[in-house]
Amino acid sequence: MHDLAAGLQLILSIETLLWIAAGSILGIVLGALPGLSATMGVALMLPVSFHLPTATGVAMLLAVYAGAVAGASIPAILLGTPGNPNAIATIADGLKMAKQGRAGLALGSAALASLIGGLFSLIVLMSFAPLLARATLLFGPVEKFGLALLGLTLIASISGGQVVRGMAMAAFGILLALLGSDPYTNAPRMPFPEIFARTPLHNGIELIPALIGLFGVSQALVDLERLKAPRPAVPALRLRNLFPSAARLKRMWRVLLESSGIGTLVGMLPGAGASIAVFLAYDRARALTHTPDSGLESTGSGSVEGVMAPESANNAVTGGAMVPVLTLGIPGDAATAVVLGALMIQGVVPGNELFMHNMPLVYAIFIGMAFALVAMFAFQLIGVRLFPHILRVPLSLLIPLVLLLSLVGTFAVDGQAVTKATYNMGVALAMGLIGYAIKKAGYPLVPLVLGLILGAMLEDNYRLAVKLARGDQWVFFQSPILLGMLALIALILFLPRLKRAGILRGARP
Amino acid sequence: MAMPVRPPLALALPLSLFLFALGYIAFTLSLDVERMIGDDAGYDPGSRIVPLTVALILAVTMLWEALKARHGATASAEHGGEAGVEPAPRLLALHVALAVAFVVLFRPLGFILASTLLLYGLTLLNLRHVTHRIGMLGGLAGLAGLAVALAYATALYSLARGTIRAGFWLAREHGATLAREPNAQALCVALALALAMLLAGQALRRLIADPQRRLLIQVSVGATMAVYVVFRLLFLVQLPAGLLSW
Repeated sequence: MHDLAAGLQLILSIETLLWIAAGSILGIVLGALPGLSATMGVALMLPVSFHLPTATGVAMLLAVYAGAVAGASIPAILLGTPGNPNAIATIADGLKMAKQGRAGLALGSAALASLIGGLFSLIVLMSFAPLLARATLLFGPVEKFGLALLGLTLIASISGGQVVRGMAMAAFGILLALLGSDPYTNAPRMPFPEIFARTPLHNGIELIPALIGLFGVSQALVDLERLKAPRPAVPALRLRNLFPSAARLKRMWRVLLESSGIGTLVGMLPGAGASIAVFLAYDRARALTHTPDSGLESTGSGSVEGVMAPESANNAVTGGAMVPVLTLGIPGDAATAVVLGALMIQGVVPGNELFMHNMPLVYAIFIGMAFALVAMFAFQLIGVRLFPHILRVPLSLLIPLVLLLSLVGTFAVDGQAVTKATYNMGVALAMGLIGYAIKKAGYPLVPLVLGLILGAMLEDNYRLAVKLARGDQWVFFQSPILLGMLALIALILFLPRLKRAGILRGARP
Repeated sequence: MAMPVRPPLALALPLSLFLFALGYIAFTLSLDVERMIGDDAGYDPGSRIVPLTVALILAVTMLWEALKARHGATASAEHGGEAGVEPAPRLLALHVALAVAFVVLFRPLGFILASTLLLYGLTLLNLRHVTHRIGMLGGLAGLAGLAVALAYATALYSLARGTIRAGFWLAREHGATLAREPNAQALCVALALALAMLLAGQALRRLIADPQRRLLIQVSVGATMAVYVVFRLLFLVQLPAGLLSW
């Protein structure tokens, strides 16, 4: 009880509430603008969070995240173009509703579904995270090494089915993370020491400039190609009946519950992300609404059910994705990878230690997330008349702003050390170019980020585990937990191949 | 959406990363093996093993991908296939060049001038790319617009500094301690700047007939000042003053 009160004290201030509101508005706007992703929004606000108290900063980032995921439904409904892939399944019914003159109802239902999905996943996060965190008490260096390996494998394998490319990107991220100095002796580990020794780069690549470069700068450069993309006309909004009736919502309880459950579960799986959850939820909603006597409107015909199912799922992903972040230090998706980066930079170590020794911060994050969801719902409704105007903001003005914010934001993180901050701007720019090349060549970016985040954890725990085992490499095959993880890794890597080869079905296709 | 990637990048990226991995292996082998302090028995596997293993994985996977690309395999590109989406290599190169110039000039010119220059230059390039109506960057009108934007930004910065100084004066001479609080100062400066920009907007209407040029100036200066208020006045980040040393 004392911890809850302390958590409330951390989060209940005018300043925090204002930052949550600002983050939520920014998230909705970024989510609504096609081409600007939730991850980019979180990365751009990372330097701002750095200047705020930890709880306020994390709550603000979560507000951006939840807002951007929900905001993506706006162009999906009004234009038939999702703000980002999280709303791709909303198009089918959302656009039809808009064409039928029910855009207001579609937008209101989407906002309500986002709130329901978000709150559901928050309840799961609050109930499940402490238990999982307690389980990590069993984790020593061997298991932590396995955890880092599992996270990297999961992300690499789910990256659009490109396992080899995902593994390569994860390896690239780890190699970049290992530059700087040896973790146990501090001996330099940087090529061309005669050049780098005189610069702040001798410590290696810092996480914030890398994240901002990979998600902010690279996205701005990619969007340059969309400058001439045609902009569809925004339909007129009819703002009566923003929500379905209570009776209808009652009939939809199963659609909402199952969609939220799917979103939360998928969110917990590192690398899966909302774009997978929305299709699973939509498919499930289709099955439920096509059942005779269900009393529900069939999806695909411009039904509220077809909007609320994917929208509750994509916002449920936000809470689900925070479970592995807070308990294991492994992000569920790209946006939570940036949130994890923010936590680590503030000195917060996820896992049991966080839940044992910093429970007020954990409660503050939970409460902050609840506020963020309510703010997201409120601003989506308040801003409903403004959405058509937001969608008219041209990319030609936004791209320069994103670049400026990326570079100045990077500088601001180390603003008191001017030389280091200037070098960091160069790092952000260089990482932006690398991210651009990776995206354009069709390689996944998220494994690279996870490699950057988990690289040090992988090396530290591997070496510590072997040393504690007196040099015995077999120690990795003696831990039941790690063996379970290794079996899971093997399953993840080889199951799709075995399925493709028809071995599991007993016959070749 | 799956579509063929232009061969140079599909091949160039894995080849570059393959070479990077080879270089990393050579670099790791050139380092002394460092063991944990106090590990006299030599149980620590040392500082080489993880970087070497990971670099080997990168080398093998990238060689595989390069060979696949060489044999004409296709890859998926994130942003392909959408109507109106077309490569803009020149625009991209100019954006990168201006961003590099921004990083280099950030300290000597200062935040206000460098940011205005970056925003004005990038927005002009984009507008020109979209409409083909605005003249070349080096054109007289473009340069005149840039000069107006820089002068305008300097004037607004001076107004901001004046407002802050007035706050300190009020606190010192009249005991209004609130006037020296950073948040209060940021609010006062934001209000003063918004008012000044509204008035300047009217003046720009008479000075510049083309609404797109006016928008270009207002956006580049307005965004610069907004970032200044947030980072310098709210978060107290030491943004370099550069030429504007007052």
